[in-house]
Formats: sequence, structure tokens, C-alpha cells
Amino acid sequence: MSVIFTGTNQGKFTSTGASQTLNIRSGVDWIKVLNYTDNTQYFWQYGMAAGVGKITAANGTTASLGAGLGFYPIDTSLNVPGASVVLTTISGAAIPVVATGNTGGLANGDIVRLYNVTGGVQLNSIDFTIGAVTANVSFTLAYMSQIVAANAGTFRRIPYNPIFYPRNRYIVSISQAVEAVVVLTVTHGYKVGQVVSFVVPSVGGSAASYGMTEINSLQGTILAIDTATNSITVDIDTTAFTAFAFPTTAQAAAGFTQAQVVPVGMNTAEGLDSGVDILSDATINTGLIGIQLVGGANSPAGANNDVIYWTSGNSFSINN
Amino acid sequence: MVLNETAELLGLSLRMTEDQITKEMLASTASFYNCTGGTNADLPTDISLSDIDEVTSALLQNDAWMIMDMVGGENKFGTGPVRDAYLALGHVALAKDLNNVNGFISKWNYPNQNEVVRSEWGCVNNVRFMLSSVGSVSPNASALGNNVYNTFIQGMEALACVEQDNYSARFLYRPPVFSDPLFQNVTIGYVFAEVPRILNDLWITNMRSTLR
Repeated sequence: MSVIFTGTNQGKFTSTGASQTLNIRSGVDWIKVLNYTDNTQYFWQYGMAAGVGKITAANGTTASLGAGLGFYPIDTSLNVPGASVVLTTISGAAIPVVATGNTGGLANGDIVRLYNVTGGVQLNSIDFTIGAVTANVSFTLAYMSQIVAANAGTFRRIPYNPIFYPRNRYIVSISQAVEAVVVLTVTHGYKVGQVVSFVVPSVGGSAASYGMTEINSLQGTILAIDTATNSITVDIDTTAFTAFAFPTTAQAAAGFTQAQVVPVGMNTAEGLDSGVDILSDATINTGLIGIQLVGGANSPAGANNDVIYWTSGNSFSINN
Repeated sequence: MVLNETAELLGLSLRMTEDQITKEMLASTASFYNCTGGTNADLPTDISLSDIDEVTSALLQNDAWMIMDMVGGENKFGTGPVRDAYLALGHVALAKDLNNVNGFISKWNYPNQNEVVRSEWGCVNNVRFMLSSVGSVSPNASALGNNVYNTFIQGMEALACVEQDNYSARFLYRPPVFSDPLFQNVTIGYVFAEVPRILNDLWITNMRSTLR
């Protein structure tokens, strides 16, 4: 139930250069941000569009923030993706590079979802954590494996995660090893000791499409995590399994269910042995109300190591 | 009078919130299956008989027990027996598509209306569909950017709601004498102490579909 609250909240953080979400249960009718490092100030209030805002430079000049460079009010129960943006190509590089003339609001670590990609059908509707962003030129699909280059499509920024932790995630690859290493498309957040189940279905009726269908329905304990590669190592011996292969665009055209990792519980013994919280698999509601500050220079969450002070408030009455 | 109306609205809000929390948990954590048997050329496609049978087959393979008992045939015109079934929880927007699925039986064709759940829409083979306006929708989540509707098909004991402090939700009322120094206002509301949780992921599948 809502609580009537008229007043202010305030806080500070040191920027990582990425977008920053402020959890403000009372909601945000207006917010002021001071970048203590470069002396810029930012403002947004209820009634302005999501993603925009105002910037006042150190010399006192005020200007509008471009679309996607400002503030996004957040209510995770609503889950509204960002605007549809055109992409022109996806490269065949080892880490695929998405070319687009509009990277507005994207920062390293954000999540995007791809749509209707010509020649890249296998990537459609999948969420990806993005890596390096070159303003209004491109961004990378940080953890995705190499594909055959694809052409035009669209993408949307996904400014939220599924509300409940731990979440199921899409699989990029699974190694053939005594302890298999599994790479996932979106930053997973799993912990050592958690038990996961694998869904690696056949594609288009062909077991060869994903290759390693032997691992389908198997459960494994997470033995190690690599945040740099966004991978987990599990206690499943896949050396004798068929090699894992991400479907081609031709295979995916017939329709398929993506390979997934599904968290199912906790290996208490492994958790105790590794000295981790044995309840880390607990289902947690991470839903929140608040506001997201877009990261980067000349945006409210600032560049790396900038010190940011913020004040937000709720108004007694609103007359827009 | 005002108190009664407010209590009624709060009670509705309480149970709808409970539904929303549970559906969000299922959408976040349950394994999913993309419908591919429909005709709209999206991924996932619209719902089809082959998709429902595919999910049923997977649940059977995983030894999931069915929740709903069969409804035996009776000597009534226009009715037919209903198989024992898994329970499917979906969004009301799927109602029209379900009507067009081969083999769909509307609940008014069940031989015994005492066996019908109020929110039920009908059944297809071994799945009975319950629809709600707060059913789960993933916006812009299909290959073509359309909304994806999550239908959770589950067997017995696939999930549970864990009550903490020995209650799921508590309805609170404090009369004016405790709420207001001037005895003019009351306090009324509810609190939750409940966590939904999948007990066995093999016994539940999120069947994802778009609309025709």
C-alpha cells in the first residue's frame, strides 16, 4: 500500500561510469543531482519524459539532456523496455559488435534485447549485457560468441532484470571439460554452491542444432564463477558430450526454445566447503521503486570515479 | 459503509498483489518453452495444440503429477468428459487464441459444472487453463518485438507459498481511538509475510506465446 510522504531523500555515490539505480520506496516526483567532481548539475521532475532531463554546466549554462541521457523513473512491477532503435549490422568478430547510429543512454553493463535481425535470427528476443560503447557508432555484445555477420534489425534497452533472484539465464556456450564452463548472455549473479538445471533443447527438430543435448535436464553445482567472462563452472563432466554450438540463423528460422540455465537450489555441502552463505539460493524479491541515473560524462550518474550527490523529493500536490 | 467498501477493495488488492508476486517469481525463475506450432511467424508463435502437447509430454516425462481430476462423462447433450489435467495459469488476452486451438473444450462443455473453477476458461487435452487479468506478460519480448504471454503449466507441488511468522497476509484495522488523537481517522491496511518458491523446476514450465 502506498504511504503518503511529502519530503526529501538524499544520498551520494561514487560513479563507475555505468547507470546507477536509486532505490527510493516513496517514489520520485523530482530529483536534483550534483556532480561534485566536474561541477555539473542535473534536474528531472515528474511530467518530463523518461530518459531526458536538464543539465546545468559549471559555467551556469542550462541545456536539455538528449533522449536516453537523463533519468528513468523505475517501478519494476511495470517492466517497460526502452524505445526501439535501429541497428545496421552485427559483426562476425569474436565479440560481436552492433553498429547503430544511436547509442543514446547505453552504458557498459546495460542490457539490450535484439529484434528482427536479418541474418541473425538466432539472436532475436535474447537479452544481452553490453560491453564497450562507442557513442552513436556501436556497442559490443560482451559475452556472446562469434556469429556469421548479420544485417539490419532493432534493439531496445532493457532497464530492468526479472524481479526475483536467482534468475534463469540464456546460455552462450558450454565447454567440453571434466568440469564444464558455461557462459551466459546476461550478468548472472549466481553464487558458488548454487545448483542449476540445464535446458538445452533440440532446435527445429534437429538435435544437432545446439549440439550438447546430452546435458538437457541435468543438474550441476556451481564450483566457480568468473565475472570477467560471465561464466560458471559446474560439476558436470561434458568431455564425452557433443560439442555445444549456438544455432545458426537458418536453424533458428524454424522457431526454437533457447538454451537456459535454471537455478533450482543449493548444494549445502559445497556451500559450507566454500565458505559461502548456504541460503544464497533463497528466492528474493528484488523489485523496487526509484529512479535510474544514466551513466557517462554529461549524464547524471557521471563518468568513472566522479562523486555524485543527489536529492529527491515528493510533492504534496502535482499539477502538470 | 465507507469502512466496508474500503475493506472490500483492500481485500481485492491483497489477493491480486499475491497473484502478482507469484507470477513475477515464476516469470523470473521457471524454465520456459517457446511455442513454435502457431501461425503468426513470430518467436514464440501463438499457442497451438502441438505446443500444449509438447509441454504436457515433458511434464509427464519428469513424473509431474496432475492436479485436476478427470470429469467423467454424463448423459447430457453438448458435453464431453474432461481428462485429468495439469493446471495452466495465463493471461486473459489468451482467451481468443485458446478458443481457436484444435481440441479446445470450453468449460461450459464440461459434464459437471461443480468441477469447474471460477477463473477457468477451458481445457486442451491434459491441460486446464485458468486466466486472469493480472496474468504474466513480458512486454516486447518476442523476436518481432511483440508482447510475450507467459502461461505457467504445472503439476502437483511444483511450487509453494512459504508463510513466515505463521501467516501469509494480515489485514489490519486500528479504530480511531488508536489512530488519531482527535478520534477522527482510522488506519486500515494489510501486510504480507509470504514468499512464493518453486519446489521442483521439472514440474513446471513457462509456455511462452504471442497472440495470433
